[in-house]
Amino acid sequence: MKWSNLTFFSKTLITVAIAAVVGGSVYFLSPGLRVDESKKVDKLEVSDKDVNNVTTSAELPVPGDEASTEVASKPLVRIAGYAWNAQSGIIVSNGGPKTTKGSIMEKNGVNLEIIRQDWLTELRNLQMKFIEELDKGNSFPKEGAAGIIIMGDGVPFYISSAQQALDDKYGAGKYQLQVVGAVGLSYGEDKLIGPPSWKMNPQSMKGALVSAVIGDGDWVTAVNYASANGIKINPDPATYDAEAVNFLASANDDYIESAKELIKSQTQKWTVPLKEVKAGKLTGKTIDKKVDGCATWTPGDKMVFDALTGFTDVVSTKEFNNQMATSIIFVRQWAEANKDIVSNILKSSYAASNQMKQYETWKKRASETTTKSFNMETPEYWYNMFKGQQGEKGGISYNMGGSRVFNLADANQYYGITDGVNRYKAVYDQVSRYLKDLNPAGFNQNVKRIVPYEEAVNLSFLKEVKDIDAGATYTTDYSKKATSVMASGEWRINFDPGRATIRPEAKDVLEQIYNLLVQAEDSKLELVGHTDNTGTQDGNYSLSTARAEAVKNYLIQKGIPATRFQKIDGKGQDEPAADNSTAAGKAKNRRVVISLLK
Amino acid sequence: MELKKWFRPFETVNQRQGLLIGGIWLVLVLGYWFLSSAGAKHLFPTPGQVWEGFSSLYQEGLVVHVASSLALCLQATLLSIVVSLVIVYLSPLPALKPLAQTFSKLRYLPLTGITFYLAILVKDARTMQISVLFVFMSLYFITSLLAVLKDIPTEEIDHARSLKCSRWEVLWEVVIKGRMDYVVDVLRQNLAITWMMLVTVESILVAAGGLGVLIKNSDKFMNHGRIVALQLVILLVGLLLDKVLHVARKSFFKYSTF
Repeated sequence: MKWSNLTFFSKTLITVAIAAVVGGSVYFLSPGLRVDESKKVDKLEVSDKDVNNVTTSAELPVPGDEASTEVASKPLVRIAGYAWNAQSGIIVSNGGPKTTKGSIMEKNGVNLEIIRQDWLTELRNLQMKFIEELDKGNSFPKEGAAGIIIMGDGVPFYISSAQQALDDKYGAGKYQLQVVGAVGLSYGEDKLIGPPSWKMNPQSMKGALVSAVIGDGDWVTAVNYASANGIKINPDPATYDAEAVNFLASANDDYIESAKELIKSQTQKWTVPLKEVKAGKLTGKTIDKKVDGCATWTPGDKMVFDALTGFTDVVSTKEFNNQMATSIIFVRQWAEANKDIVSNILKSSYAASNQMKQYETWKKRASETTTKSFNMETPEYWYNMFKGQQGEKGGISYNMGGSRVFNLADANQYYGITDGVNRYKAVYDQVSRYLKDLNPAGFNQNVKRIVPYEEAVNLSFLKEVKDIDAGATYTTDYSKKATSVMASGEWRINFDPGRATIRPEAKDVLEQIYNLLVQAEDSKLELVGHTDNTGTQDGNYSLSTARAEAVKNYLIQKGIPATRFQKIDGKGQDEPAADNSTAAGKAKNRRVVISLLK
Repeated sequence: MELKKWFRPFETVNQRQGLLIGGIWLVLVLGYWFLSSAGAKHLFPTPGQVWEGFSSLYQEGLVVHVASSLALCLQATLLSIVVSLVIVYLSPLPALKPLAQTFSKLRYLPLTGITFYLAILVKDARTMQISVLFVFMSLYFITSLLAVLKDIPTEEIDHARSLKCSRWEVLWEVVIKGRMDYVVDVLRQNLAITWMMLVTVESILVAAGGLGVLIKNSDKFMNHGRIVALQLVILLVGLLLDKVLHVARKSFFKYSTF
């Protein structure tokens, strides 16, 4: 039979049938969707104690509004960052978005422009444009931005992906992005919002759906909290695992959307269809899940508390107080050629921040310059949000906002220059691990290598900052007794039967515990050791205590102050976590439980 | 083969030569791509990087994502075609004319912020994706379909009237039946807008997957090999859809002359 003899209808039928067979085979023979399995990430957590700083320096005049003429002839340096209150120190040092008369930046001879940009991709594009011009031989590009400011826990994500693109484009190693320092930090501004039950009983968070910008700092806060409480994390935003904390990837990667998604789900019964997984396998069912909580930052938190009753801040960067520092990233090749400028930017910021920490006039001025630079809200708003606000609704109290700025002493302490405890390295390493283990938005498929801390951070510029009043650092007071448990998790720290020596493979777990402890620097700790049922009951009490002591000693030797350990105890074989009749169960019972107290 | 013919205005070449010219262009473009990305510094990712991006995407379920995007597009298209046609076919009725015209004007409204109200009307995120796409597609369809109606020559209507057709019959014969082929073409023209909007719409619900989500994630991490691979996939699927509609119109409407 000839094709041309067929009727139109027959031809259509044959064509559709062939298309269906070809399309169907392609669909069924091709690899299926990649599904990430929920993971129990090794954990930890914390609290706060704001210590009033002693006034150590004379009050300086606040900067004026008028543009500086003194630095007008100097090449303009542009840095871009989010509208973020923790940046108010560097902004007030500049007198506003552009260097003003009488500003500290002017005194240090830097002509600086601070650009607000709330989209990470645009921040990145600004920096890439700058590098492109630099590559053309222009030593002071007017285009793009020489530096960008992002949250410290976003740095492994940003630097690793941007570095790969730079290496792809210009050849490996030609340009390198580096953090040159931090100028402030979020102190409560970024938070996980949920029902108070998550605070009282963190395990009740299991099976919840939290809206968040996956991979962002707020998400890290939520992951930290779940990890600290030993709850599994479902890293895959397309699936739902009732045994884990699940995340909804907020529309347009916008943290305000995270807040809106919670609000509309709670008030309008809006749901999200998610494919159900059990033990990493799709069950074939789709679950319509409402949003139970969100991870967001100011003003997203204000939006939620204005709209909803029955929600509180479960955990925030007040607890994970070292997590989100405002880090400045420059391209190394330019920064090294302009070492003075980079150091002077830091110097000005630290000097102004030190004034802010001591004087109301500077705090007020900072909120005015912040309003002007971000072009949003009022000075009162930024002032209140900087300090952090408390509210109450339906008998549930909540906190909004909260930031800090760094003086030189804070910065030196943060990077461990003063006391050897590199808080930033702990954050960097912890988040790098989350990126690798939890694979947010397909991180591993897209980025081949996480740039290690040693390459990503360059403290030489910070070390050049001299001749200013360093000020006093925020310090934590561990002398008071902590009364409430903020998080409690069991780390599988391996011990040989009958011994209290930490096995070498447990070092990795201890490293993670250490990183979390550093991030949650204000928390106190309680260690309780356990054994399996081998040996005598009395012998096991002392063995379990010895195990807890071994962990304590390890952490002390790593730099955790001994005063942070509120209680060391041994429960022997009394509270088994698993069945003692199998070897695997016994191994599980030889453990140390670490609780974070505040 | 006469090379001179290739450079003479309005010259026709045979199919073999046409293919040859196309092939030469393809080689030139690919050659330029290979050469321009061969050095240490290059603006565009190398073919190797793009291939690597493509194969890793394929392994992660690219085909399922394509299917998800197509399914979303199909649902929204069917809905909006039905609704737009009803509105437009009723627009010759003076009482209903302002409705169609107003909808057409609304296409200037931006998407931002509207999704919040849509979310209140619909109960789940997938329906919201479909609704957003449906609403915005419909506005463009209505605009294009109104233009088709406007371009119907008065002679055709007069001709139908002279054949003693009632007003409703004119509507049926001339406007509805007589312009069916245009509807397919309007769909084809607007599909590009729809396909482009897909990326924005899919980022409303990342959980549903789709090409939009994949390209957004790759952009987040600046993996240019994957970005270009995805752009090519999106382009090819779009072109395929366009071709299918074109062939369908030609086959279903033999009288269709344009």
